[in-house]
Amino acid sequence: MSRPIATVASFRSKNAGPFTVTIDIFFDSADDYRQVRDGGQLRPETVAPRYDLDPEAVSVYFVDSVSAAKVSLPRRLPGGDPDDTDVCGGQMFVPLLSLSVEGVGRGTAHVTGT
Amino acid sequence: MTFRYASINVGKGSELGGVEEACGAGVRFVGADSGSNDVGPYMLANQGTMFPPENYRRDFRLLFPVTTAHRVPFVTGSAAGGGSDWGVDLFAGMVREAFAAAGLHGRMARIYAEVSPELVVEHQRAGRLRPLRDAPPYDRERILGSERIVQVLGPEPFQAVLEGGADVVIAGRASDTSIYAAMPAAAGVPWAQSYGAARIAECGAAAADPPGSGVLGFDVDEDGFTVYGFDGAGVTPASLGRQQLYEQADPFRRIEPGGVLDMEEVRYLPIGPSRVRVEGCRWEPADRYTLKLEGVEKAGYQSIALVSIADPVMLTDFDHWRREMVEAVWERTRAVYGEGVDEQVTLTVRSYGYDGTLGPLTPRPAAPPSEVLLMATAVAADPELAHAHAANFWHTAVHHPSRRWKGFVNLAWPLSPPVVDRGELYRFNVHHAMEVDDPLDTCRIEWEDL
Repeated sequence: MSRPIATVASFRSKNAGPFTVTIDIFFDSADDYRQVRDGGQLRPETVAPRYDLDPEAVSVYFVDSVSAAKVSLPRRLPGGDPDDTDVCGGQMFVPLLSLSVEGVGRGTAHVTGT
Repeated sequence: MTFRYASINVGKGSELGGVEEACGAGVRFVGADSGSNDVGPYMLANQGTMFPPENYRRDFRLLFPVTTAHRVPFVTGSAAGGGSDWGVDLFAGMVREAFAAAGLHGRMARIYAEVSPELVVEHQRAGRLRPLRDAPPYDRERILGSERIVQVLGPEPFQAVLEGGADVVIAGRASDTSIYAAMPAAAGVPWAQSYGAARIAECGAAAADPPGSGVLGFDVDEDGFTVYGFDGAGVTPASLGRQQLYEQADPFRRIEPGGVLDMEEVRYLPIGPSRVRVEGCRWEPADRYTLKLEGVEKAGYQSIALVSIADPVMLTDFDHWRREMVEAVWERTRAVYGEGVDEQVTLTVRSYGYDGTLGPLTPRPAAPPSEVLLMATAVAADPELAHAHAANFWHTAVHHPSRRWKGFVNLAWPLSPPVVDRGELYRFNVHHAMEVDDPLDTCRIEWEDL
């Protein structure tokens, strides 16, 4: 059974310099973290289309010590460009929230619906 | 050997009571990273500071009587936010005021970080410029067209002035971590631990739990470091672990001027409820010493206008209406300026409540929005054209008909006059590392007695 990754993790994003944005995904449980890390649904090929990018431009990391994933990708415009809409990249995680992941949310209290 | 220091924020109006406790506990310096490129290019263009100037004055007034009484140096980098020479001079002036007002004495070192475009071109020609991740194109013409370029200072200039007896160090753009790594490393702490602790220290109390509270303390030694709070603040393994990921593209490897900090094997070990011991940082020295460059170039003049819609009839057909309306704005501007105007001005319409934050990447909303704020930005090399285009947007948008409504439309606009001229804007134009022979060659150090 799959569900949106947003139901099992907290998200934040921020610039890593003016040309790159980095998204931190903190999982609510170490079990869910391992499911996603080993499940293969969170990888450059699944992230890139949500940002209109090539997979080669996207990096995905898994950080066991804090049960977190990290996604880093190039910004469309440098931070603070005249046509930029998110100067420090604070909302750039939103396109990832609906990404479907498998086998998560078992026994967690916050799951609603099936 | 343990090296103790404290990290604070300046400019936020933070609680600084912990500085007295830290100085009493024998810290060897109090450090503050004042900089950020997260706020956009305006600070490097000398158009303003990160926080209001009065906030910095207040913090300096509170800080220096305490640090001076304990003979503890205060060290800050990326002065005023952008770290340009103007920012260094602005901070230095505030330091003089604070010392004079309290009748204090000491020595201040100013470290300037601006580099000339000619010097950068020289390095590029010699093959000593390397693009970093997601770097923009950066050729000779672009370098020479820069408004300002700064090097991101490493620890060596800080070590030089602290060794020289500085009581206050005001530096230009600096690697956030180098401000904190400099002095422990000079005292003999390995780079791995000096930079590892600095990675936590560089955002002030952002690593505290709860974030942002108080003054953090660091005890650094050859095997690791211990993080804790002064004046009741504290940290947890989770708060430090989250900080490790913060605003860094690669969570494990951090490139510094003289090498790479490797945090792949880092361990956060709790010592009681509010202290954490950190071990496992490693350091790979680089073959060549490099300084990152930051720079800005002119990006045109911007004018903006705001229009809002709450009418549900209009909002059921919003996408179509917006497309037609934007085309009508262009027709009006072309009628006055001619067809060639498309090459001279841009128009971006952000529709807040609909897709203003993420544009085409917005997850599609299922239902029509209940309200939309249209914010149009017009950018041109000619400020009058930018203003005219924004004004044409405003007047066109507020009366542009909807397919669903036959009469004359009036939308709302919240500002009068409706167009706001924001002046000249800038753009970040470089993200490269420049190889240098001696890190002290490219910066300028000035001393003064306060």
